[in-house]
Amino acid sequence: MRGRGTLARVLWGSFFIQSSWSFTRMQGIGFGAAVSPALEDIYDGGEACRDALKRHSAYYNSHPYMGCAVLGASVRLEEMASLGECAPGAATEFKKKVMGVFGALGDEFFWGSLRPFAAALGALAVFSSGVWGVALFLGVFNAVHLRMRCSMLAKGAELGEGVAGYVSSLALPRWSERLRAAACAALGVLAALAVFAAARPAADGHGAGVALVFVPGLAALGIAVFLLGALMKKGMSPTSAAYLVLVPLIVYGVIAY
Amino acid sequence: MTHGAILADAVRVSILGGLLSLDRTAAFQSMVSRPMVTAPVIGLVMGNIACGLVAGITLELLLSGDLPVGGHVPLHETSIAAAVTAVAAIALEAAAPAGKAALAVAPALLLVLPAAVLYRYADKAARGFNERIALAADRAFERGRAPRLRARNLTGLAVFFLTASAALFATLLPMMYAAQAVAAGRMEPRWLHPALAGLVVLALASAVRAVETRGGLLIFSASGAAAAIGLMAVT
Repeated sequence: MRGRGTLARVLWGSFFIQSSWSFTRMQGIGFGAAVSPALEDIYDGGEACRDALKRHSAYYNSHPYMGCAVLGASVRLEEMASLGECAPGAATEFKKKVMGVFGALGDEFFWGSLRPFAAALGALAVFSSGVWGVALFLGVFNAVHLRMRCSMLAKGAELGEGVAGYVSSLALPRWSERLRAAACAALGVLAALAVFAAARPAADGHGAGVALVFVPGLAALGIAVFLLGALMKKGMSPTSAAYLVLVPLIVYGVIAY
Repeated sequence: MTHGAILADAVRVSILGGLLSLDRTAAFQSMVSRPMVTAPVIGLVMGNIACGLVAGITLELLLSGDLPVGGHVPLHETSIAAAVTAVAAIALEAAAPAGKAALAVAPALLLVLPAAVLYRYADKAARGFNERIALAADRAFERGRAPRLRARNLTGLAVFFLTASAALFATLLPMMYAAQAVAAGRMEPRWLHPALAGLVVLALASAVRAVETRGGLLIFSASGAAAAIGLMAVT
């Protein structure tokens, strides 16, 4: 049976779930390595343990943090299988069923929403407090990330297949929308601060002069953001956009100054 | 800077960049590999943290939409951030007395972007090499043995570290020499101001695009206008 501290070892292993990421197996070996402390406890070594390890080292790919929910559920299902309460392949079937959905949820929430939100907050903080903005970025992101890793692993080990319901109850798509809207708001403030910082020296720091530079500057930035955003929506990569914008501006700078 | 000093900086940045890049895929994913963190760390090592902070913010926002979804391998943002910061810091030092840190970031990015192809190639090569780890595990299973999966899995760390560090080192030396040669003796070149403004606009556009949501542009504009009114009132 699963010993004390086994889940902690699985949690530690989950941080290395992508260490041997490859194109054909993706996170398969990492998943097998992460779940192996629990399998060794449950099957007490031997042939059954080896078979379980082989099952869990097959192709697997999901979001690395959401993998904790799948790891927890796999531990529970393997425990049940060892007691004859479900088929030996139940955990593998469960992984196949949920990895795509969990991956999409995690990509949208963590990569597409929480990280840009934390980055926008961090960038704002760098403007006012320097390096503390970097700490804020790491703090905001990892406070959510680490808490969710731990809770999903624990819930998975408790609920087995029922962890899918737990993940659903987190309403991640709704939170993603909110975080994206908050990130847009933070970026708007950042844009205003950036233009203001440029306008102040240009107007010698005096009220009316600042307004004369600041307001048109902000309007121009808004239009440029809209136009560049439209180009990126059409498929232009950030690197192509960098060449498109920076090379002409450097040439212009050389000619104009 | 002397040849020895440039070589020492290139080695330091390559090793540190390689270590930080482990966080990207191979371990933890705690975001220390993101430009927002990597660039200031490299800036600190190069003796110009302000340069790292500017590079960190702009690159973080610029690359925020390139996500590792499915089998897609995104641009290697850690190596790009490390190289841009190192090149910008060298350029600023060569242009002594140092100009504004922010000004060197845009040309440094243009210099580094072609190398981004090599960084991504190295990343893909590491992932390709990792197939051997999976195949070795399969062979052990076929022989009826339980492979030491945890140890095998962790060998991937060395693969990711070595490829990222080697790619960084191979590109850093020529770029650092080029930056030093171009910047030597030029103090605070005013002709880089438009490019800096362009970089900020580009970073903001890319970030807004990355978090595109219903009414996102409206929220961006409204919050920008509200902040502008607040700033004007304070002034």
